[in-house]
Amino acid sequence: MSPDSVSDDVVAEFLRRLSEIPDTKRGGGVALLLAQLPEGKAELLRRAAIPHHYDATILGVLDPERSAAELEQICDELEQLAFVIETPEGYALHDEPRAYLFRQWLERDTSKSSEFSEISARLADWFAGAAERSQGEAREAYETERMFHRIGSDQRAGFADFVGLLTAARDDFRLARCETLINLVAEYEDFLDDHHHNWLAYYRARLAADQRHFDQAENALHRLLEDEQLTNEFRSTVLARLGHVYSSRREWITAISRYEEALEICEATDSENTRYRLLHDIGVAHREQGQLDEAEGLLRESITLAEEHTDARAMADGYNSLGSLHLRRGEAEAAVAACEKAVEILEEQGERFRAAQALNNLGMAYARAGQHDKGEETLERSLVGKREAGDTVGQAMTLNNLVEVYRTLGKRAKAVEASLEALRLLDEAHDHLRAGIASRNLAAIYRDQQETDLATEAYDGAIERLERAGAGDELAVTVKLRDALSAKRGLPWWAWISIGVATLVLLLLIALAILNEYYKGASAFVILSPDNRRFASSQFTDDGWVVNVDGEPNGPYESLLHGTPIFSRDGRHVAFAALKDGRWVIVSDIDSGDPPGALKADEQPYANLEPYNLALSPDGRRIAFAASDDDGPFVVVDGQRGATYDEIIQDTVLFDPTGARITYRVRRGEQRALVVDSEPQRWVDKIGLNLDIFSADGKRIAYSAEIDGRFHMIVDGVPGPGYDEMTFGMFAPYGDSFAYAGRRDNSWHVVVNDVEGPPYEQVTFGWQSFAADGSSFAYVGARQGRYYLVADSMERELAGPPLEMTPVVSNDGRRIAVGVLRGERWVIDEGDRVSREYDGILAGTPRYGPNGRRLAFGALVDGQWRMVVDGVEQAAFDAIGVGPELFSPDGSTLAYIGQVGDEYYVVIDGERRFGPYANVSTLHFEDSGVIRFVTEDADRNYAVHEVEP
Amino acid sequence: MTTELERRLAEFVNREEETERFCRLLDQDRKYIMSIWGEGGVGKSSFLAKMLHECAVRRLPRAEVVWTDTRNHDYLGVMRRIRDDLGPAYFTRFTDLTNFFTVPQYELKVTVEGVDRIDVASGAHIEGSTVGDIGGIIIKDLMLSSPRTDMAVPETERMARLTDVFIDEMGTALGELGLTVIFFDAMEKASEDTELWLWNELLGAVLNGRLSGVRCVLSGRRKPSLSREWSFVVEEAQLTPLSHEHIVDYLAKRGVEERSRSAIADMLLVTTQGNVLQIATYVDAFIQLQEGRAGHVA
Repeated sequence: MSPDSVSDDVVAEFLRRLSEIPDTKRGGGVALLLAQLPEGKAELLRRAAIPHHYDATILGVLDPERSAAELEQICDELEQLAFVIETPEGYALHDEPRAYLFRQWLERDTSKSSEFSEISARLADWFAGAAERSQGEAREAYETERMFHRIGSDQRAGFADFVGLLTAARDDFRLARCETLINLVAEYEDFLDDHHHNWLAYYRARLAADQRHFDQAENALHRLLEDEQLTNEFRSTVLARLGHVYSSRREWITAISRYEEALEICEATDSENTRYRLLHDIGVAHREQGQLDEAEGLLRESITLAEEHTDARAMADGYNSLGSLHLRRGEAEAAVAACEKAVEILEEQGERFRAAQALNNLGMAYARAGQHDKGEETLERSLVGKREAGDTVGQAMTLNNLVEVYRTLGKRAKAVEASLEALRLLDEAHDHLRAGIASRNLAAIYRDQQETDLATEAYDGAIERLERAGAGDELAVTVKLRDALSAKRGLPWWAWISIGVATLVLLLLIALAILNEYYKGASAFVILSPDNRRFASSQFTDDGWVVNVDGEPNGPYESLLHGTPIFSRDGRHVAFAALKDGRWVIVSDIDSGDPPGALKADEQPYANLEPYNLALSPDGRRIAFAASDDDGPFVVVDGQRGATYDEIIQDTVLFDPTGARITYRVRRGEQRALVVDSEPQRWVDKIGLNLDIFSADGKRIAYSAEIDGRFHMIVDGVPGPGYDEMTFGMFAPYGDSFAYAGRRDNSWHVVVNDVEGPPYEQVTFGWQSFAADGSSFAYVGARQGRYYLVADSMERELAGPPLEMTPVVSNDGRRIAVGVLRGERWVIDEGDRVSREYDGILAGTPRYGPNGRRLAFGALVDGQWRMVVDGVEQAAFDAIGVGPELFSPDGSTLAYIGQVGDEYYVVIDGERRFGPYANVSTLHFEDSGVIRFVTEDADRNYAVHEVEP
Repeated sequence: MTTELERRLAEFVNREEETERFCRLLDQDRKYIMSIWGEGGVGKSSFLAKMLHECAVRRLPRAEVVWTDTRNHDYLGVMRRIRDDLGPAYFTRFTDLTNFFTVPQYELKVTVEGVDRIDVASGAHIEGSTVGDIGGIIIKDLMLSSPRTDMAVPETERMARLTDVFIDEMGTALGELGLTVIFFDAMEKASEDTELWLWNELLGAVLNGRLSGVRCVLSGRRKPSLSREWSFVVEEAQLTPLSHEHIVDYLAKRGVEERSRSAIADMLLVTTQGNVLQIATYVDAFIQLQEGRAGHVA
């Protein structure tokens, strides 16, 4: 036979064999190759697929009968094959061929299975020996391979090995290693018995949860529960893990259900050691839900059982959780006792690092209990422990707590030092977000000390770090704070208007009630623009309704929408709705240029319908109103008709502070919804009245709603926890901090930024209870006949009940004043400063100056009212009245109205500077310090006054 | 007999365009990272061998990180691998800090800002160096990965501080070594956390200019999903299966007679869809068959 014909035969045979291979995709080439190799070599190649890599030594383990020289020779020959690759550990078969051959081993009949087990056992022993001779990373790799092959030889022992390695890796939070271990065991997945198969699926789900893939974990755990053959122990473990998944998502009710199902199984099977851990987890979930009594019972039961089993770690966990519970309840002494117990147990066990964290909690408990010196000492001990542990972020957090305690103790230098140290540590740990906030806190300390340059520098540092962290919301707040510092302007104008709402009642009594003449058939009332520049009135004449704006008559009209004219919040524009020739027009100066010119009647769409709820945006550029036709009521915004509902709730059309967004409330059937930018939000049973619906930048929206008989605060579309009753909610003047209070059973809780405070029988706060940046919020809580001022999680007992609408927090959050009834007399209590006793305190006061340095309040002394400014009592009047603005923008001047008999005076810095007048409006400060007010004489002539203080 | 690397280079076909792009990556300063992806067996390892060879020809320093089923490097493993390949002498502080975080009772030998404040118990005797003595200071890495038992440093912090020191020292090393190439192979086997760290921290340092004079080549089965900012610095290349023409080329390099090549290539293309590894395995089988038959005839 010629060489050519041999070659042709080989090609033909090769092509024939190729066409006959059924599994062409993966193992076809490998099978064909093995068929061509000498039997001994082919068998060794098959065996080489059992380990993940090999060399001549490992080939010797695979085939102990061969000599070293033979093995070296075969090793070299195998290297010539295309699917043999060189790896850092030696040679290996490429993934696909190895997977194909390995699976063949697992699928083989009993006799070959025994061969596989024997080879696996030899490999397991070899890798065990290699592990013993190695250390560090290499040892860990050999141990991993020992585990893998042990599963091949003895599934039960190998799986136990796997669990041990996995647990150690997870304890160290080495998730990459956990993933490697699980992937390796998964190579046997289809061949594991049901028990181990389920456990592998469980560990995979647990890893997903550790990696915060909660949906993936939840689905996997649910799939496991579908198997009715699960053992009780396993089912309980899966249920408990599901509970952890839901807890991580803060879905407490579902978490509790899963934990309770797990607990039921444990109780049926007498699994006491699992039981007390579950009781602890259920207790914590109840605590987070605010069900403190139930939580306490569960935690105490858990501690008792843990003590019976002498499980020190579980005991310490229990006491720690109990301490947190007491703190939430405001039971500082009980919190101290629980935290002390936790520290004691951990120190006895020699767990000094965990003890350091427990000391941190104990320190805070002391501080809450008013034992600031002990709090300081304990936090400093915690700091030492955390330093020894090298826990940089932990140190920073403790330092932050120390800063608060130092500030309370008046140790400002130490507060700065601790704050700087916290900042340095957080920078070192690359925790840009926390570092940014720490830098902002440092700025606040400098600001308190009037160190403006240092404060600005710290704010700049905070901004830089928050930018790096990509923390947009925090960044926006910080930029505003820095800008506010340089502007020294205090609260924004609209915040003063909010404050004004609270004091409006007083003003009406003193000034506006006199100035405004109520509708008496022929005339309507007079209104002023918020800046007192403009005024408008309406009057019914023989020709019909005439509107006077700034003294210029406009009309006549057949009818005038009640409640109009209205001014925009910036005071620049005016608008009203009137009926002319049988059609409704909107009359305004919106499009008349800047400064505004003549009024223009503009026929809107739907002019055949009577409008209501007329609203202007804060800058007066946009207009909205409600109207109703045969289809029902709707809202028109900028001329565009919105959807029709059963009802547009009266007086609820509202623009946000930027004028970009608009909301109103609607009813459809028995359900109500807030409509935001034309889109109805969640349909609910009722919507509460909330004046402060928007955050400062208009981006966030909050309102209270009744859903299924419970009240929820819905913030940015997400309902908070349910309460039986709820107060209004309020945003901080700057930033987006938000606070409200809810009653559950007999307890009121103040909720600030979704964090629920401890329970009280009553709570009191007002429109000035937030610091300007929202960093601080203060309120008064009553418990068992005692009253506590609560600010920044600290509680201070007051001498008696508080004045309505207090406490008041200065813009910078540094000072808090609360009116307190002592016996039958009132004081203004600032903690370290308490005023003398007075017969009464003027509603709407006390009030801080914009920079927080000055404090003023109206006080009743021997039947006469006096303004008390920085402790000094000013001149006496029969009555005094304060408007939204009491201090000038720079805080240097203070102005109010004083009444003597029937006459009114404008009082500046304690002196009657202008008047007497028959009537006088509220006072408005311009940025320049000029005061503007409107007066009325006996003949109802109005005059605008602009005066230099 | 040839080594596996020599064999791969000798039998390398196709990938001219990808090779050119790799050379451009080395020659120009426009892009710093090359990402290669393709299905298993498509020839990533062979292309990697080709790139390693190119680096050797140009005498460029290089490091190689390969993930395997049993050694799934985490962030620490990746940094150690690069350190050992580029030269441990450049990484004294990193090695010291690694020991500090993993060896019980270990005291820092090199001052690292901030860390020297930590008061730990004294007196550790370190044996089993994998690194050696450097500049009179004994810096040895026990290659431990678990955190030391007498400290409680959170993992995130450990990672941040080790990475920080490593990148600092790598910057110095790159300054001295000149253009350096780092290969990351079998990326599909890296854990999610490690991959995230790699992109955010190590490659992030390349992106933001903290590390310069370095090129990184990543190879894996999955196409990485990159945000727009990366597109300016990453050269992406998907390896595609071989065409008939390339299979014929390959058969020629494997010594298959010319007159049979086209017929065999036809059949292999149908059977393997151009998968390089499968083609090579079939050709191995063919050669075994041929040798067996020749031996039989002889």
